[in-house]
Amino acid sequence: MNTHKKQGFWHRFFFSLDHKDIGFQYMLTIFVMVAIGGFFAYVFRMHLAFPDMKVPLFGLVTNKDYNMLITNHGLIMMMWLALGMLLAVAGNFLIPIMIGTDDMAFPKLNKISYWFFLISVILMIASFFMPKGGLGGGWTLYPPLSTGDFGYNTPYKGFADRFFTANTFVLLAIVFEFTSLLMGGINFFVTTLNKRAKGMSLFKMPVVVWMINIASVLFMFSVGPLVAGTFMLLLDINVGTGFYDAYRGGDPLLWEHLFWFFGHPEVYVILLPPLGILAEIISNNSRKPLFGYKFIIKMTLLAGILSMMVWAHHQFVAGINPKAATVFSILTIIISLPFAGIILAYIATLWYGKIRFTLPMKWALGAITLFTLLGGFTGLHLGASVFDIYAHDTSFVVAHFHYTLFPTVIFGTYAAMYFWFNKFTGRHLNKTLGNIHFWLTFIFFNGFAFPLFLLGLAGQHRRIADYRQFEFLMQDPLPLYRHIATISAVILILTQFIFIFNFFWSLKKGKRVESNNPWDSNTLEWQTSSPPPHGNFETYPVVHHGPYEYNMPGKDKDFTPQNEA
Amino acid sequence: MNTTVSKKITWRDIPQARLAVWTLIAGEFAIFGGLIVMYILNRIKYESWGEMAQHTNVIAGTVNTFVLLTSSYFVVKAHEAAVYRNKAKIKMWIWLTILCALIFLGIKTYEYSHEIMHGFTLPGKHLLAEGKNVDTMYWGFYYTMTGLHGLHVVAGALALFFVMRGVTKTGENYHRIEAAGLYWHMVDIIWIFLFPLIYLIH
Amino acid sequence: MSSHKPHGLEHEIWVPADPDYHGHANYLKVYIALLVFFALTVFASFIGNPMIVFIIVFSISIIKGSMVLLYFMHLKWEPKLIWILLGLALMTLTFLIVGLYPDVVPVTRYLVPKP
Repeated sequence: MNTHKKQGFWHRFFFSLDHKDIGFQYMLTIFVMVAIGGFFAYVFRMHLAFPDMKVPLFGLVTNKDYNMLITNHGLIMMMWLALGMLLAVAGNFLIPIMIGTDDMAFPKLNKISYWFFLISVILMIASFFMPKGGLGGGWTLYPPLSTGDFGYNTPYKGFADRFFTANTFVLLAIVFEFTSLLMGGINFFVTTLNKRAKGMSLFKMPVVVWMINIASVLFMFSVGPLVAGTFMLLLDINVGTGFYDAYRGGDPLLWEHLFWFFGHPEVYVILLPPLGILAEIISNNSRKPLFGYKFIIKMTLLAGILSMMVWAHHQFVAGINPKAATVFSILTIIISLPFAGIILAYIATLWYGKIRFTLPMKWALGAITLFTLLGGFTGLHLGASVFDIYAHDTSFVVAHFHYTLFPTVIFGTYAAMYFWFNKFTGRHLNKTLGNIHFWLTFIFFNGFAFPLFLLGLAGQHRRIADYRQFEFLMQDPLPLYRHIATISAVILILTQFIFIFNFFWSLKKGKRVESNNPWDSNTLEWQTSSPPPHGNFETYPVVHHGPYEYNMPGKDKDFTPQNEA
Repeated sequence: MNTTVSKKITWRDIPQARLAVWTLIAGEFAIFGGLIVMYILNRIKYESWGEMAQHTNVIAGTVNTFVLLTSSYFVVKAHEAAVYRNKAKIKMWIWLTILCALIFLGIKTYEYSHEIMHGFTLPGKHLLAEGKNVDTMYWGFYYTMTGLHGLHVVAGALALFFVMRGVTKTGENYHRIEAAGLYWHMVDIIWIFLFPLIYLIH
Repeated sequence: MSSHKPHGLEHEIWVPADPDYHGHANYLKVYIALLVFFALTVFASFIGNPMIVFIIVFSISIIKGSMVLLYFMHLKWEPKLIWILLGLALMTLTFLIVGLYPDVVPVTRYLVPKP
């Protein structure tokens, strides 16, 4: 069935219906967004450590610039990198091929979702160039900050005056992105349920397919109220309604509730796909069956439901009902249990395994270590309202969410890249560069994020552009910590160029794969040629085994491909 | 009810178009449900909204509800015709449904224009001038909910039109009539909830 | 796209086994019942107390909505999966209304306008 023809650029990157091509389109688009988000991070980190310095490539950072940079860094990284990379890219690349089918259930819908994603990216980038500058209201878009210069009750000078602002464009971009991911999610869900290969029962699917699907469904339900809320905010800005205007009986807190009703499940939407990726890599590289497959799935479902009941822990200092705060505290602490269970299952998989320290395994172990030890545990502290009220809006929170998101999103993505790159391109990523990339990233990520814990406990507020006005924040050793954090962050960003170079160099000149299954893996994507042709399989596989049957007794090799009779 | 069940359906048998539309419907319920939840809570909070509700055109709303309920019946008849592969009947029922959609949109336009003429606009300057700050939000919700619903009516009618054209031209993909019909029923269900909440509680 | 149709994926394109695949209700009866409930809703709105009206009207809406769901949309004959999906949507909204209530209804944040 190898009818694969050489395609032109436009055909491959704009009109292709193949799920792998669409995944690649998403990935390249997201690389652009990450470059912008990373650049913003570099500029404001430099400004925080060395105020008054003209930041190379940017110039002097004014307070307005600082607000704009930090807002857009957060928005881009959360909405476009994390959601895009882990739902759209991972789902597109992995789901059809792992369940042993030729393509998505609705290839055209898949293409349309990518176009919506592209529109959202264009709108987002356009928002930086609006007459009044980029949005500076914080990535959570709380009104009245996000209504920008207009506030409420500013005189109405015509529609264009309000429409061509960063606020409108960012909100429209978010609406388009949500639409794109909703369509993508429906596609994943239907594909998984209806198009699995013969013999692939639900509990013979790889964990990552489960995780992406649970994440898609969770996203779909949690985002609903926020979509409505975003329309309301758009009307507030452009037409002059008062949904979030206290003067008209509206309530800014309502937006915070809607935002975090989506925002908290979003954390799990982001977390689940990397957990699935880690499950694949850890089981494969420990040469052992995954410990507690069904247990992991059940814990994930439980966590998904619980995650919809904990959102208000982001608002403990926003003036919510204190009795509700107690309930949300308790629920937040309960939700750590299913994740503790999942992580324990991963650690139990490592136990007595024949561990191969391959590159993806290093990323996976790094992700688990950092996420559990520093991200997860500080999350427990912040979940309790008594501590949160002290630490909220300090750098402690910044450190906490970088320790939860960076290991999962970035480490998880890199683990997946180093694991599956050779499958989808037919070439290996360079190992030496990969090792350098891993160790530098690991060290300098810690160097960047750990000092923020100490700074936060010392009382450094996180939304301040210039700390020199606070004497207690300028005492030793706090400026030193800030310098360490900034220099590490800059090196961390520079390190990523190693990967970018490695990625594009290996795409053209990397070492060709010597077999279709270099990792001796069981799952179906390794049983077809590398790179897989359009339609993925020569003859469609029939599944006889579970995805994690490594080192089964009575076999001459230590793995059992799922389609082996 | 007169029911006949020929075969028990398991989830593996559910065709992918129908499954996708059901998933979409569940997602849409979350969107409109969110709006309705916010509206109900604010409605309980502000008693003066009852007075505002009296300014809506209840007769127009009632007629509209009747029109949508009827269109729902037409769509289900179109689905029945699709099961028996009857192109002429599919055409008839779907055109009737689209007619209903147009009537609905026409009445809605009439209502909007009257309300705007009486000063009940989205920014609500008249109400603000009278010191009825809180009541501007009632009209905010009114226009947001009915407007968003109106967009879904347009989308549903377009979907029905294109699906009908495709099916009657090619004589294939009869199951698409049901998928588009499901979406249309969802539009109807949302209106079933919006109508009493907006118009009837004074 | 390849024109190749794999074995084992025949269910990809669905053709009903027989015209009566779903099983269905008598649509006309459902429609008439819907109209009756609709008339009840309109009559109920003439009761004075808004809270009572709200409860009656909203319960009738739920009945009407579920009738459309069950019989017109054939939910009654759909597999459990669809019920679960709709149930999750309902669950989401329950969480939302419970979580929002203490911060919306008893709290007054707006400035009382001067008459």
